[in-house]
Amino acid sequence: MTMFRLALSGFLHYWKISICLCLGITLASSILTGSLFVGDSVDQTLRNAASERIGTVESALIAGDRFFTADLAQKINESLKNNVSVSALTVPGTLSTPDKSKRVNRLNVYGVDNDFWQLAGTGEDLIEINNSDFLAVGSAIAEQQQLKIGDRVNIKVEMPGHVSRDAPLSGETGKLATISSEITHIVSADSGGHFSLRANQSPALNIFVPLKTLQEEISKEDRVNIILSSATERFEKAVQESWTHLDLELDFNSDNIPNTELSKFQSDRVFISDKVESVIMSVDSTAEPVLSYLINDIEHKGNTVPYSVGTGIGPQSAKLLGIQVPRENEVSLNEWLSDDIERGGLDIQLGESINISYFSVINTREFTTVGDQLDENGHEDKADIRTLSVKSIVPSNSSGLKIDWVPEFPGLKTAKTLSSWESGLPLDTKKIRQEDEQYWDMYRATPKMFMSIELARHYWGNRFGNATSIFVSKLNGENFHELTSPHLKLTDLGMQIRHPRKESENSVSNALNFGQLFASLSGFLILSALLLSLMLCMFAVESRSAQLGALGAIGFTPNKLRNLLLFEFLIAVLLGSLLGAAGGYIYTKVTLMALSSVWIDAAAGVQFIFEARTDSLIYGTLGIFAFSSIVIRLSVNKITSQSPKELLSSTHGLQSPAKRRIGRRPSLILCIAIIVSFSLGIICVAFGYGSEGAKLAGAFFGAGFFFLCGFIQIFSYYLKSISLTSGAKKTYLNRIAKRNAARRPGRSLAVASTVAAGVFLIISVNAFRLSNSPSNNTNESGTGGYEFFAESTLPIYEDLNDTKERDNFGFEEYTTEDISFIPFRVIKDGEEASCQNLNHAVKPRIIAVKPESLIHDQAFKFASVLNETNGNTTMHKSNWELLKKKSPANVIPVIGDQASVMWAMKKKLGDFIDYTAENGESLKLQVTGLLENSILQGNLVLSEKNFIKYFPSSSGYQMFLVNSGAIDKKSESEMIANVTKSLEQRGMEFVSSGIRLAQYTRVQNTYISIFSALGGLGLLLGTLGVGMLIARSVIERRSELSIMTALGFRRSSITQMLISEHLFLVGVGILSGLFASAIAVFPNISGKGAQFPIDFLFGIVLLICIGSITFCIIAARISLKGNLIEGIRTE
Amino acid sequence: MDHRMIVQLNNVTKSYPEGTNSKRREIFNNLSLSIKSGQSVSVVGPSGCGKSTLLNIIGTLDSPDSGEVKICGKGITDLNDQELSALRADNIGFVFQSHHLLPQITVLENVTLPNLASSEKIERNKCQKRAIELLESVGMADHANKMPSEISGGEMQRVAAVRSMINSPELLLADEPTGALDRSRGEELITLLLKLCEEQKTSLILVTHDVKIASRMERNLGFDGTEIVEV
Repeated sequence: MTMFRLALSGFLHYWKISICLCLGITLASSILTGSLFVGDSVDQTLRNAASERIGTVESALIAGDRFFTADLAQKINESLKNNVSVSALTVPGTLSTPDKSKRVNRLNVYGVDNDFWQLAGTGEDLIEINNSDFLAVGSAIAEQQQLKIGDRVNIKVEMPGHVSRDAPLSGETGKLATISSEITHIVSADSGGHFSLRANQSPALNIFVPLKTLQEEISKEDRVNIILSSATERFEKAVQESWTHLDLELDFNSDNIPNTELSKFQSDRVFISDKVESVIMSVDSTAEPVLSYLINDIEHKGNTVPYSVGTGIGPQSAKLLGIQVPRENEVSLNEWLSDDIERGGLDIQLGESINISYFSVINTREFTTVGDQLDENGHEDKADIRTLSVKSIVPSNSSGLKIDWVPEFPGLKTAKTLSSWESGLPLDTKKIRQEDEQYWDMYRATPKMFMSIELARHYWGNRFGNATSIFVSKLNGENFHELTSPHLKLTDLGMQIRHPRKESENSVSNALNFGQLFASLSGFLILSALLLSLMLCMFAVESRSAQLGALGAIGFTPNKLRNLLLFEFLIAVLLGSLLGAAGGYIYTKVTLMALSSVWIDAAAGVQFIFEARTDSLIYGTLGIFAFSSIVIRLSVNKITSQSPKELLSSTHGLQSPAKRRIGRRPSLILCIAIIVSFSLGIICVAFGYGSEGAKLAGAFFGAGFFFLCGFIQIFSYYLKSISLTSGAKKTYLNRIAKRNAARRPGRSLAVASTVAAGVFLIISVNAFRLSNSPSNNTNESGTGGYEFFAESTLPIYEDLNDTKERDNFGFEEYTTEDISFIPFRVIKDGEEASCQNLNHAVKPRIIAVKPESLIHDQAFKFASVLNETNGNTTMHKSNWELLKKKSPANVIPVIGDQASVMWAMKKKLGDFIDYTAENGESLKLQVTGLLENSILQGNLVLSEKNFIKYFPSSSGYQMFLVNSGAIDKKSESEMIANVTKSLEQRGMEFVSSGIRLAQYTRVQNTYISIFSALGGLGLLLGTLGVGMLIARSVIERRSELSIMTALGFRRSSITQMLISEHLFLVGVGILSGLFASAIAVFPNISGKGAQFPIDFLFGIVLLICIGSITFCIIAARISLKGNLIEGIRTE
Repeated sequence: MDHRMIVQLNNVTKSYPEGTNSKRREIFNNLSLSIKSGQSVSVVGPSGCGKSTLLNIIGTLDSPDSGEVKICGKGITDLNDQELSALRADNIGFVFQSHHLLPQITVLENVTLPNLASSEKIERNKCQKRAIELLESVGMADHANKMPSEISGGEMQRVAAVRSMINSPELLLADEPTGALDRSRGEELITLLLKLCEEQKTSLILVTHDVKIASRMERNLGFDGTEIVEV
């Protein structure tokens, strides 16, 4: 005989208990292991999605709003041997079928060549582009729109400008290119159909056309805006070694200006960025910037010349023109301008004055005319005047005037007349005279006026640059890279070098851990299963206490007894833990099925794959094994620490005199614990009373918890008190029932507290359900009071609230009373950082707004804001003003949705989020405000002013909050349909704000549903445990009940007594749980956003009551059934 | 004959709390008692007089409020739980009113069970051989491989008696071992216990209500109030 054999014999002999314990542990282990497997599956799904998304791309160069040469990829490829680097062109676009029956907005149109598939795909089969008619759609679009090979589709993309569409002279907006063709291929995920550098579990909607086709369609011949590479570390170096001035969109005119050593750089982007200018100036001491701009009117003595070019010059330029550099407030005129009025000039003499007016950019394509002596409202403003004195005249035959002072303004080259020049500025062509057109014919855009570069910059400098040409003598196209590359990187110009594989690894690794989520959501169920099985196990031990006492008497030490029991139970625990691995497989399968059906809102757009990792298996099984072992050990300790004599004399339900003596008075510690619990509860209420949002909810939840502890402790006190009450009072069966409840205070407390904790948890957590009722549309609601949320595929540069622009788009019949827009700028390549994106957003999407409109509307409810003075959180009325807060350099105040910031970005109020500005500068976005459950989830909002400052190239608006003044739903729907149609070219989509909010709230509510389902199961299991306790107590008292029967008590009376006793315990539990949860959920149910599932909770409470009564009746029946004498004999 | 004192109690006092107040009920007061090695002693008296308490103190299952207790020459008041367990395992055998056989193991295994607890374990085969011999001596060898549920109540009590002797204890304590048996089976069991004790030279202390059974012991003790007396 060995200890192991003895334990094994015990395991086999008490097989019923062993099976129960084994099943309980299996259940717990299955749930924990399964939860971890769910985590593995989500993780693997995201990894697979990431792999399909980025193919074998390790590094990427992204041009932002710029375009580099297609040769750059070739040079990088040559530099990176044994790696593949390919270039592509990508622009946003829309797809529609000719009959307009199918339409997809916000898709990515890629111009690619055959090499692209090597990197974009992960499979063996590579797509081949045979001819220019190639048009492939990603499988995601094909499935979504049920498109097939042979279907004809129209793809519309924006003709990108040379420069930000917000920039002056950037040309006309809204020019679209259309590619109409039949679908030749449907690209599967593993072939690159889901290719995207943006981390999101939903497959990207992609269209692929031949690179050359797209280049031609959008007039970007030999240009690309993305280079992908399989290289890792060396990529950045290769890029830095490979670029030329052409990749910076600079043109070098190699022809020297006659009689000089000077050449010049001009930019396709019209304005040369400050960074490039400063680098050129630093490497070529002879370099001299020139700034040319359009002057609306040059006026002298009532005569005006419209639309002339003025140029800011330096000493070298002045020398070319044969003049001195004009001083402050002086100009030199082209002789044509000083000529007679009949010949188109202004008849000006030296020393006379002229007035000029010109357009100045405010923010976007909103221009204000400077120098027209009118204010913004068109009223006279004498101060608004730009007067300049004529210092010199440049002769018409001056060789200096033959120089190209003006860069290739968009539309300039193709404009046959001045009137037909599509400059992008609101030119009044009625003002253009015959003479002006003649000048255009002869001299095109040759400047009519020269001033100092300093004055020109003062007038016309803007965020896009302060020079339109730079004269150089040392620098040229050949040595440009060599001389400037030590001082200049492509990333300084808003281009990005990214490492998609590392980023996707980061996104997935930091994504929401579904394993932990499910393990915590199932926590109550796991605990219930464990406690139930361990409770059964302890009952079994208790029933063997005399046996243990005998073993103790014959010399078994407490330690040996402990080990014996431990071995015996650990066999069942080990088996249960191992079986849990199989159970975990089933649990995961079922959960993944649920996540794809009933719980789909928790992870929309994901097709999960099953994955079970060894570490999860080990953690799951070992975790439960270790936990159970510890609990069993502690429980066994409690029994084996009794002396053999106590064990031998133990009788169920009665305490030994010595023990009774110990517990004769409720202890001081208990009294203190009661006071502490209630005090903490009251402190929590006091703390949360003045606050709002999460703080309030948290404080009340805490208060509820402490009150619950207090109630349980009071009940414990009560049980101890009634156990000591003298029996002199009149005895009724109900009174006996209460006294019975006090016989085993531990068990009675276990019944009451299990029920109380379950009720409290289920109710409290469910109170956090969010309302997604579309009718709840106040300014303080999650919709901000805006009826619609709109997004456009292509940026909208125009002011949609402007009557003239509405007229252009074709919805002029609606006034701003009918429909008004609050536009948001949106960063390119930003990733949605909300609960709808399972990936961690590496680059959270930032959006920008003019805060005034949101301040005016008092839109959205703030959960908390950062106090400007001491960092503490307080509430303000105009919290959107925080966006205008003055901050240290490179620190930008932002406001985000609380859930997005906390969970998706893993930040809190006051934290800083690292970001990179367009010029490569490091920025710190400081979270200064948190919105409460809003439609702005997934974004960080900053002021438009800051956005323009740091991201000047991100032009136009792509997101809108829309106010509708429609009198009824029908007219509203009609209006939205009409406006959508009018803005169809820009791919505008409206969605009801209520529906958008519901999409987000459904995620949170689904999580709560999962918790409710799993927690409800746990509570039912807890009820089963309660039932077991009841049954155990009743069966233990079989002999006592038999004697009561023998004494003449009717069985129905005894059953009633037992039900009273246990309903008393369950009732106390339910009431304690209800009362504590009422405190916890008070802020939620009194608020506007709560959605309280009364029916569900009522059902749960009812089930607990029914379960308890049923177990009580069954146990009483079993105890009182059969031979009365046998029952008495056992006494 | 070894005249060594196997049990020595000097001025032992024991009381229990009574009711819910601070009153205590005195069981013994300055009780002194010596039992020689190999002696058989009965303790008789009415219920609640302290017979089982005396047996529990001698069996080291309970401790006195005051006084000195020496078992097999060792003072027990200074021993810890481990040492007490070792003392019981090596020197004391117990037979209770209930047999307390483990239902999950065979008769033979039940008999060898105390060897698991002993600090001086006998080698497995030797232990089994001794168990078989003991079972033979009480006519239970044929039942050695049966489960306890397969034998009668009297047989179970005989097995319990054999179990108590497996480690060759110097002292055997029997607390109303015949309480659950009829008279003839009770007498058979006492005969068996006396036989085993004689063979092993083990002292026997038997607590019983039965005067006839008590009279078969060499020495008879009884309680007079809180004092123990020879009867």
